Amino acid sequence: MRGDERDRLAYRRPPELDGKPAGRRPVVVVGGGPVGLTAAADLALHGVPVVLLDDDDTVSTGSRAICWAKRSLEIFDRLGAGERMLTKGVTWKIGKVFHRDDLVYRFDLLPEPGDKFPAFINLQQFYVEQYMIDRDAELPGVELRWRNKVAAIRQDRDGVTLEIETPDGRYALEAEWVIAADGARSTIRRLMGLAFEGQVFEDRFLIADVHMTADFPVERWFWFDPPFHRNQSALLHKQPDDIWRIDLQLGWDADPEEAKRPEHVIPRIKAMLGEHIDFELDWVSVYTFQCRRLARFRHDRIVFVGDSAHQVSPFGARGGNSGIQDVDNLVWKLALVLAGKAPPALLDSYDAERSLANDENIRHSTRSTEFITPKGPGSRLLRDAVLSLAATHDFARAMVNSGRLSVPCVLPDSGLQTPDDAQWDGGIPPGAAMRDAPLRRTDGGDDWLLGHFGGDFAILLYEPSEESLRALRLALQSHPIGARLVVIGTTAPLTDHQGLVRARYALPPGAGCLARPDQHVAARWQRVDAAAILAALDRAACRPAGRVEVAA
Amino acid sequence: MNPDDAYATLAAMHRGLDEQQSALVTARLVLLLADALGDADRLAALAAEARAIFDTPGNATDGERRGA
Repeated sequence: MRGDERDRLAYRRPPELDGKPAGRRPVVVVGGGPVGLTAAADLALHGVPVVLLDDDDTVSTGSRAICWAKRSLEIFDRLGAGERMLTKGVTWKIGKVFHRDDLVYRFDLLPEPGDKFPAFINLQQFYVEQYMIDRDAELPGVELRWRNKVAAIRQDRDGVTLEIETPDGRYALEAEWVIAADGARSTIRRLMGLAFEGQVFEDRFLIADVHMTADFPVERWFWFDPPFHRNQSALLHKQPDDIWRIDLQLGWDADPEEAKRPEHVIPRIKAMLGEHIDFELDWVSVYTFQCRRLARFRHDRIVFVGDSAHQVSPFGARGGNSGIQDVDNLVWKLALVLAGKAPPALLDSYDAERSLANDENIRHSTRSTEFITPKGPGSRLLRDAVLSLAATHDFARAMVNSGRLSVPCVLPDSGLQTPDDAQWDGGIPPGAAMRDAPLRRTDGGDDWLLGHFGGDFAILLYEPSEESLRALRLALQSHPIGARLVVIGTTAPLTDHQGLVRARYALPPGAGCLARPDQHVAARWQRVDAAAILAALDRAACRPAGRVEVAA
Repeated sequence: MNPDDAYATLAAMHRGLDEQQSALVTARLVLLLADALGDADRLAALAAEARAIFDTPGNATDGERRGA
């Protein structure tokens, strides 16, 4: 870690200890992992001052979460950290699955070009945390408080009070809202006595990060029952800095402390990579996993995001990525409520939308786990039968499940989306995340569609008539939330030069869609109409139509 | 389908195999049949029927088993 980053993680005596209470804070975030740090940046960009509390003063040890999906990268990009992650990360999109000695199948997660970000990058969690800490430091209104541990929490109608322990003593902090991003072992969840229910899987896995210069391809390789690790599974994946992630299934009976010892780890890795490869162990961990969630993610003024709200197995890279998407879904809503432009009921849509997304993650993750670690002889037999048919039968190949990798969820009808009023032939339906596409600017430079969306409501207009543009501008002027207009077409200023916006969104000339601040489609029209757009905007912000101000 | 022919075909599938090999071949056949059936609801109903002899404990009547 560089010196300035160490400095950014330094504990500082909170002013409250010297009798300088700053009044009630709009938002306090608890937890300085990737999810909490992302929430802080997103709040700051919405103009909401934020205090982030973390009981530690280091970034994560070991690589931990490494696979960041395209959707997360698009969110990081909106917050101003995506390009740095892309530059440092290892880009990949090809996966290979082996059974014993045979390649069963190969998949390509992004077969078609035309997106700024790849299907996935691999980047150690501590880099993501460092980059977000750096980004938070650039943004006005973010205060990161390390070694500030929450000891008590209570809430009433008007706000939340946190009792915080520091090396210099204890103080109280008042907040209108608290975002609990304090991980799978959430202190806030424990202090509130909330049940965290689900399924614990009886299996153990060894994660080893090894440092080596090897010319294995940059692909995700997964083995069922490989010759070097009989009857178990194995995974090999590349990270930056010549670090390779190796994941070996150990079975439930393995002694985790014994399994972690180098004299046991090194022979396993040599069996996998070959005797002739030089490597060093960088980090070793043995883990078990659970799939569980809180019954509700919002508890009045305390809202849970990331692993504190839901936990999945690592297969499919659905942990860190879903936490980032939680933040993306929550923060704009919180900002509107704080600004008095939307009622607190808008926050219930966070629960509805992310519940569905996370239930989907838990279902995928549970199914992957059942396939990778079959329980009982029958399910093992079935799994092996699928693998034995996969090379020759498409239906069996489609059943092979080494982790269904994270893709953005199509949000349910949470009341915010406006259902289609016409027949659409494909495109991006209400509730789905927008798809990126290449654009060309007037100056000839290359640009990306998603760079024009996010952070606020915006309307994508495809070759609108001058008349409809004028009517829309006029109608939006007096709306308290408003929406930016993004005009795209076959001519300047933003040219759909490859025709991919039109193809991906199925937009004829004169059509358009309303994008939420989290880059999800809220509504779409084959012919834009000011009245319909205003109604969709009110609906997407949970505003009773026609009312100008809403008390928070 | 002549029932004796069908039985003979399935019996022949196991000829010369040990218990473990037979089990794998049966599982492969189940998957191939599921694909040929191409109907998730019927598959679920048939799977429930196959399992029914173990789902209704002890003193269940034949009728209850069939209805499960």
